Amino acid sequence: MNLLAVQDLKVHFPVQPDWLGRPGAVVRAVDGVSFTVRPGETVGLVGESGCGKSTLGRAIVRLESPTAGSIRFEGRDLAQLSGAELRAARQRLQMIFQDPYGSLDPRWTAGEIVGEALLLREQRESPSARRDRVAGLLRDVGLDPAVMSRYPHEFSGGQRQRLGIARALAVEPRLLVCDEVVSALDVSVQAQVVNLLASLQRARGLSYLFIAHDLAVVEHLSHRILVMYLGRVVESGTPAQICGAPLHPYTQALLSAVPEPVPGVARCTRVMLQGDVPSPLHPPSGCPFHPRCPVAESRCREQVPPLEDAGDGRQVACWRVGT
Amino acid sequence: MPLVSVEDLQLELAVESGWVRVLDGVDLRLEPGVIHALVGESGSGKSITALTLSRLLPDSLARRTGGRVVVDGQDVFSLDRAGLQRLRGSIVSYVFQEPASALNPVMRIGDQIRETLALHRPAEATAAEVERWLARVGIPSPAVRARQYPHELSGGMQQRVMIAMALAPRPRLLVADEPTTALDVTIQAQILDLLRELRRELGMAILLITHNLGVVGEIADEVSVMYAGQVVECGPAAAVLRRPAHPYTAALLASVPRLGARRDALEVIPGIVPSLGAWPSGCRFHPRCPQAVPDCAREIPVLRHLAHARAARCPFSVADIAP
Repeated sequence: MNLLAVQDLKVHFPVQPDWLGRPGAVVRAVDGVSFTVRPGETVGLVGESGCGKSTLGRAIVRLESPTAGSIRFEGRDLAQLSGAELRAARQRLQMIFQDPYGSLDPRWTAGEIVGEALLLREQRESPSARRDRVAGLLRDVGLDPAVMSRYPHEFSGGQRQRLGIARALAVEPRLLVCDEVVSALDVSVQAQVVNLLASLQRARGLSYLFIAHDLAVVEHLSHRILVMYLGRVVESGTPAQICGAPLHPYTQALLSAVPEPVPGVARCTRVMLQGDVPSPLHPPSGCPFHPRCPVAESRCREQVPPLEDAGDGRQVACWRVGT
Repeated sequence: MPLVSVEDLQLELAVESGWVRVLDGVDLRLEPGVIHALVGESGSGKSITALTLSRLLPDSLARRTGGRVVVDGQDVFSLDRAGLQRLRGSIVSYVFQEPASALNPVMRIGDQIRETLALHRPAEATAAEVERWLARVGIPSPAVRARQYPHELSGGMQQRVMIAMALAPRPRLLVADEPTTALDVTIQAQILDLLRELRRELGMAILLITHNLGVVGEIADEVSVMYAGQVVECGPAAAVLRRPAHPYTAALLASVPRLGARRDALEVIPGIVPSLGAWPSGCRFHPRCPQAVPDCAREIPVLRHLAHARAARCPFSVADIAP
């Protein structure tokens, strides 16, 4: 059974009304996204800034209210849950953020930060038992339990991110939404945190929704990848399908733009995209990618292509695929 | 004659408790017209080295304790105020990571470029010349854009404006400090392409500071790798990336996830980058180095010349390394 099933999710933000009180435009940050996450699976979500990937992640943990669509977690629609039920469900649905500086309270010690989460659990433990659990969690994420009395500023960026992971793990979640969790880290530290996430998944059977703009990191960690552009999924498939033989012109351009360190390893021909991502306030008609697409035709300007099966479990939203 | 020659530079920065050494024997050489990448993780000293090329750090904050910096035949530490003024902009100019914070938010972008021209090339401070520069950095409808304010431009367009402003005085060296780090990968590809094109057209040298080895592979002719205040390896970029001579360069390359090269786990450099003022004795990298022997903790290795214009700060690097 699916752990998470998102169906036709929309998150729209109304822009402030103008000075006459007339309603403003609507930003369609997420505009009809469907996908599932199975137990023990990592689903990667990639796209450029403004594509709606972070809003989608925040909507799943209900930090944003969906405008339409459903989010079913462990078989229950999160929107239908009462306050107490939602709080209980959230323990199994945690989020880790990009900025390890901004997401930890600077006046709390590492032990208090991780220990607070334990107070939420139904069975209260004695302070000494809680201390032991905090020590265990710190060890699990590769930190020395002796750091329990230190404050966030005494940790390096990578250690802080480990602390954020320990805090999320304290309530024994089944799904972790990871929003750009390694993007702020140095290369050598990034590799350590990526390996930590992979080993925690093996040890605890965790599922991840791994949101990132770095395709190589997403390819490395994911079992399935969704590519988003202007609020929609334009292609989904296995890492081999998405990164080895992408079908959507946007995925192809995105892949070809990733710079390769070792000379002579030509992955594919460079598709240089013209212009910027359009503003989600004024999305183009038809396929959202058509103004930058090298193979767009007249139909692309008029009709939005549906996300359709393209064989082997892959899905693509492009009029030109298969023609 | 080299355009830039930094020899054994030692630099200290003022902190609350006194002075802390941030550069400890930096050597760097740039010939005119080359693209030279300066690579390293946070705290390695790469940005400080770049700022020192035109003495942009105030004397109250930074003091040189040894070594020389010669740019375009002038010793920058013996230049007076007027000499430095001539050096900055006309010979060395800078582009930084965040274009939004480097541009004046309440001034039209055309006026900002014209101001630069008025300072360095008064005869060219005309609307026509401003539009020529906007067109040259790939900004469509330059006459319209010249009248806009920075917030009306996307991040990629803002960075193009910064590049136009930096190049308008026709410097011999453009220092670009993480110019694409804040940009999306498709926009990054556009900016790297633009830098390559402008170098061909205008012939200036570029010192590109980056933590991204992919960017180095994409654009650099030469590379210097920094670790804990020292250059540990330098040479032609293709050769260094293909066959690194220093264990740190090798470890850094192995820890980057690469597209299409999925592995079970990423190679990890154990430990963390040492913080400023807490550098280990001997070779700075020895506590994290897989090849370290007891001697490495005692003596600081020299940057030793190897074959094919390469050099490495490790006694175990093979002198007759293959190209």
